[in-house]
Amino acid sequence: MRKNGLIDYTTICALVVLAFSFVIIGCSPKDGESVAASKATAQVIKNKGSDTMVNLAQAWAERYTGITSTASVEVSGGGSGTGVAALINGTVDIANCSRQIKPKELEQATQNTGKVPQEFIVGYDALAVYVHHDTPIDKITIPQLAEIYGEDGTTTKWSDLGITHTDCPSDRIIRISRQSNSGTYFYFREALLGKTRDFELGSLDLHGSKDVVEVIGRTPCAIGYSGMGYATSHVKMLEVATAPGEPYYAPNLENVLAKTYPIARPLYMYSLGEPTGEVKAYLDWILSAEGQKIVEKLGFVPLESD
Amino acid sequence: MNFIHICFSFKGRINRTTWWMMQLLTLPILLIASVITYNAYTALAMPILITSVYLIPIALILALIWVSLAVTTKRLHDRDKQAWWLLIYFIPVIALFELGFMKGTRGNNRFGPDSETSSETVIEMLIRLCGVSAIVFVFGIFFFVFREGAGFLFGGLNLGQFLTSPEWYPTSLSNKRYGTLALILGTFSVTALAMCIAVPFGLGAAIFVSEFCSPKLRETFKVIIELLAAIPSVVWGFIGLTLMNQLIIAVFNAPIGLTMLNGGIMLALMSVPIIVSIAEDALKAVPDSYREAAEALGATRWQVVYRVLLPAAKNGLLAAVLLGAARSIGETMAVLMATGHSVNIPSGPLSWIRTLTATIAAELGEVARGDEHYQVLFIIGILLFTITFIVNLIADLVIKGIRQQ
Repeated sequence: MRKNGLIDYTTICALVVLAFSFVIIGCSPKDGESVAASKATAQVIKNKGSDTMVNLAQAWAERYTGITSTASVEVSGGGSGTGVAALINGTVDIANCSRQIKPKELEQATQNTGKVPQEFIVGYDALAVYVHHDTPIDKITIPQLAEIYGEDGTTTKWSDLGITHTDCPSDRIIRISRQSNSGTYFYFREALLGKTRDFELGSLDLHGSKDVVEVIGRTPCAIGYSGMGYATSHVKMLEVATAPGEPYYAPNLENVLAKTYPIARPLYMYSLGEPTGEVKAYLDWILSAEGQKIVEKLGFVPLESD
Repeated sequence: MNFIHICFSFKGRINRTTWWMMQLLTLPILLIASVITYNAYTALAMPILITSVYLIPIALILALIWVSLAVTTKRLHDRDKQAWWLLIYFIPVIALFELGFMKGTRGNNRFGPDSETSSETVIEMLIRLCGVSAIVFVFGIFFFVFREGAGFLFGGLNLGQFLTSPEWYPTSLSNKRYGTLALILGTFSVTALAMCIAVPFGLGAAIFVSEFCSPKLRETFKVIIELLAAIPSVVWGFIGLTLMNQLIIAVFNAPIGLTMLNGGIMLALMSVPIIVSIAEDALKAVPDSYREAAEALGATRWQVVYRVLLPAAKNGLLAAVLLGAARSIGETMAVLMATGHSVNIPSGPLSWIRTLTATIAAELGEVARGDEHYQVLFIIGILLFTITFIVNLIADLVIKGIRQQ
């Protein structure tokens, strides 16, 4: 008898949950309809790609939807490669890319869609070298970073850099990196090691710009790289010099604009063919002073206003 | 009445169930064939259409129209009506009622004997199709995974290097190397560690739930354990990334907590519910007469469990452990986040590692389709398939071996 009672009770619970879920499902299309109705005339611009740029693209889209009634922008991330793949398939209007499109991809896109992707530089991103904020180091040179990250590198301990890291008893440098086909990984590898040397295996390859900073903030022994817009109070950004003896530069707006900070890269948007109509209006707005103000607000570096 | 007769003959009678089952069988085929033909028609010029393989779906559609007419005619016979009543198709709702819901005439009529048993063959056919579909799906998945990777597997991949080199450099500009040894060892080591934790806890919990605890506690316990199974793997991964990371740093004084131990604990927590519920079922399936006989001989409760129940239920217990292990090998998101995702030959529970599944998940999103790297990721898929196949095969052989003794 008791068991039967329990079954009845669970059944009733399940039914209640089911009923509620129907109510929720029943409601949501209506909400969707009303939004769609108010935007009935608006053209949807599909925008996809780089994880580094996803916050920026989102901010642009939100602001732009507020000032225009003829277009709305749909943003999704997934990585530079994902954006370019979507461009090749012709399923997006604009692809975000934190690296330049590869010649092979360009060819594929032209072949597949009949249109040549057009490139727009929409801002700059400084890749900051992050350490835990208790690490007693403020400056680093590119050759030092190359020995930390490069294949068969000679620097594996904090003491190799000439510092005593009391919060890291093992003295071992924990290298934080990105998955091996992200745009950030490609750019950082080339900036440090050129095209012929690879990264040493055994780094922790995390899956997003934000995760990198998050993990470094919790790990005293760690060093890593990520966009300078992702800094938090738990981490510290190092000043970087191109070679020993050269001046050190902090990753900030002035240094990137003056092109003195060595690890900065352009951020790209690609459209299919010469943009027209709403897509052109959107790209023009992004490149305008108003669009560039948002770039600066999100911790990236705007284009020089000329 | 055999299946061919039901499909194609215009003689005899069929009942309502048979009519519904035949709709269920033919409609999906009709739909797929129509879509293919429509696409062919819009994509190609008419003359090409007639001479091409697209004749097959067209022939299929014609055959299905025949089947549909034959089935409906027999249903009308069942209602003691002649075939010209087929025109009822043009009256939408009433046709459905007449064909699908109205009972046939009782006993023999002018078209044949009573149709009560005519649904047997069709239902048997449907059930057979369900059974076959499992095989079709497995082979279908294997075929598609294999097709994506086959080009590079047989043309260019150094299989020796693939299996024995720890160097995984899929995106190197100067020297691409596809060695998965570190990933294979990573998968096996983290699974082994997870099983070391999960098997004692899982089997212990199963024994407690089935033999030692009060019925009231048992129900609560089972609900809580099943709740553990309902937590999504990405949540486990997040716990590993944040909470366990700091805990392991603090407890073991490790440089970083994203380690094999972290991933192993997460996997153990995920596979314990599976092990508990299957092992408990296996213990429950041991007849009570065994317990009573053992107790009558003066065995203590622990002796009953250890000497009688465990040997009697060992097939089920082994299945529980193997299913738990399969869950661990296949898990992706939690290990991607918790193990550090680092190409590294594992050197102990506190080393950071990377698994085969996590590699596919992290890299497949950003490769160009058809690229070498893309194909290698699919070859890793084939490798995972092979590993699970071998594990299952061994399990089958072991269970058979136990049975023969």
